[in-house]
Amino acid sequence: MKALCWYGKEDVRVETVPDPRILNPRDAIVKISSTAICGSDLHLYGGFIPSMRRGDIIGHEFMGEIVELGSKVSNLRVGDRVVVPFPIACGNCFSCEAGMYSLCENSNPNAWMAEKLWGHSPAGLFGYSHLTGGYAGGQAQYARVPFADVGPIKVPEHLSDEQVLFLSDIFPTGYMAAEACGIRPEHTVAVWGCGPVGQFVIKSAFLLGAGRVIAIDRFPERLRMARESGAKTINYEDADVYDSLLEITGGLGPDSVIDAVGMEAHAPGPIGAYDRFKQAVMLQTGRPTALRQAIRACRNGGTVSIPGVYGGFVDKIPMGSVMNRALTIKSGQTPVQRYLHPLLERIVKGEIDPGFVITHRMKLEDAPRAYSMFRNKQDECIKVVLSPN
Amino acid sequence: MGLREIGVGAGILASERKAGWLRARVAGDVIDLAMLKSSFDSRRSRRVRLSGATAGVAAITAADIFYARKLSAVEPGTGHIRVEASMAVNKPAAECYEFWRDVTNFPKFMKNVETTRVSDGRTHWKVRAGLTNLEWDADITEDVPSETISWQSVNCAELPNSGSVRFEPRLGARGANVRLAMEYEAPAAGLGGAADGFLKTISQHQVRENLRRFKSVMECGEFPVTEGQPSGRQMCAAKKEAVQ
Repeated sequence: MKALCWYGKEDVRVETVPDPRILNPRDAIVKISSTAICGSDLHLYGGFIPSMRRGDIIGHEFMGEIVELGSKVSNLRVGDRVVVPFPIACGNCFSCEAGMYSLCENSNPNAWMAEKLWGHSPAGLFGYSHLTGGYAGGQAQYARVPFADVGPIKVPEHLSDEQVLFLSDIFPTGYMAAEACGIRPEHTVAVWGCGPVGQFVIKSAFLLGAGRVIAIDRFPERLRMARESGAKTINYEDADVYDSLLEITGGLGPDSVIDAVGMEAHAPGPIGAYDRFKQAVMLQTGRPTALRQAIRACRNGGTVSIPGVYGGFVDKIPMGSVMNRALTIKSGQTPVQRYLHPLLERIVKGEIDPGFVITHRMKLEDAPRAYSMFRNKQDECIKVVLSPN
Repeated sequence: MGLREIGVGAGILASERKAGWLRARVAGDVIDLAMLKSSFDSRRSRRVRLSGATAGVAAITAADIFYARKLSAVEPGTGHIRVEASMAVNKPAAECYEFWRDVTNFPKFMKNVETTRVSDGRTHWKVRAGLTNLEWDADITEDVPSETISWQSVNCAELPNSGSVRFEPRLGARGANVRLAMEYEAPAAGLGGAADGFLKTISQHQVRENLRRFKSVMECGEFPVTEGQPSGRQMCAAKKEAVQ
């Protein structure tokens, strides 16, 4: 089959590799109809995630048709059309039973590695480094899906791939980030980053009844998309974010702040240069500019929600601000399995059409060009969907 | 890494038990080598510098092993290795006990165990060790249903060893904590303290990983694997062969 393989910083190639096969009784093989490039894939592309190996197949947002089933999967049939959640979860451990599927205790074969870096191991993830299992990913023609009796959700035929594909990650991820804020009608929610996850945060915040959403970015097309969803916008290159947010909220600050940027934040001036230098010489693994801004701007007693991806260590997090002002920090890889049914229901009811975020549709063969375009924000690129078959 | 080296260096200079500290250095060297190895995997561009660094660390490792051996010759080295691990399992203690009590289940979760069988009330083990197999008989020395099982090798085993496992109910009836302790005479004891230290590190890892697989088999009926899945590495190998 054809698959997108990672070979190093800014080096991804479509290669012909062996087809995946069933390795465990609870596996399934999916023939992929649509797969997307996630903003977090850009962290792999930029070489910022440790424990990648040359030749790893990447990609974790995919859907398709079941073509083969292991002997222990009885709830699916060959031919079923399914969306696959990006975390791999057994459904049997303490964490899964508590609904914390992205913290599954049995799906990461390299749990010991993650324990060394993070203290404990989260779930295995598709195509996202050996720290989280080293599983072959879904930017390919076929993928092996472990614990297929727990993860994949059957989707109705009348919904198109583009309407349901993002149930695999970014819709639930944006939704969870907003849900974590305990949004009320009188709340103002500020979102850093108007990439795909940021766009779903904005939509979700409104779905959950937020009175006002303020979106922060610097790319006009992304800010425009945010405004189309009903958000007010701040271009951080034109205005001071902190001053603007205080101005809008009568000096109190937003009730909730959401960092949908993660480890590769951009910042103008000396602070940006400082973080870039420290990341380059490996004194920190992320540049937490957006997170610092978000914490500082949040109102007293407010919530800081972090769907943005961080890998290791970041520097100069203003803990004094968090502690003295009684902020709550919420974060985590999304337990997608928990959100599949409620969010599919919202799509079926027509409350949201997740396809709004797609700007580019390409073939799998064009994936290397798509990565470069998405990374460099060329051609107003916000979200790329690839068809591999 | 720098701090680790400085700390260990101070230990070697200040301590009476220098061999132990040198063993810690060897363990550190092994970590460095492992990290260098992964750098080879991930970065093509700086191979020459990486090769230089690897050669340097390898030379230091060799020196550390040499001096650790020399020093441990004067210390009473026992060659006796004891490792422990524990794991929370989401199944009742009684169920965990039943599965463990049937020794023929061991190959399902112990990575190097080829076969286990019972004859005349005695268990027989066949274990992969590098390129060879080690075999021994063991007696069960303690057996309290739902609580604990202990065993001890007999008759001049190829790898004299003993072990015990305890099953403790967790608070709020949320499954069991399974505690495994294993002891054995290191076959490489002749290599000296450094090798023993290294073996202990590896054994500790193996025991913990075996217990983790036990947890997975109990909870899910299988443990996670990625060996056998596709990657671009297979293609690189195929291309290299084609070129040669």
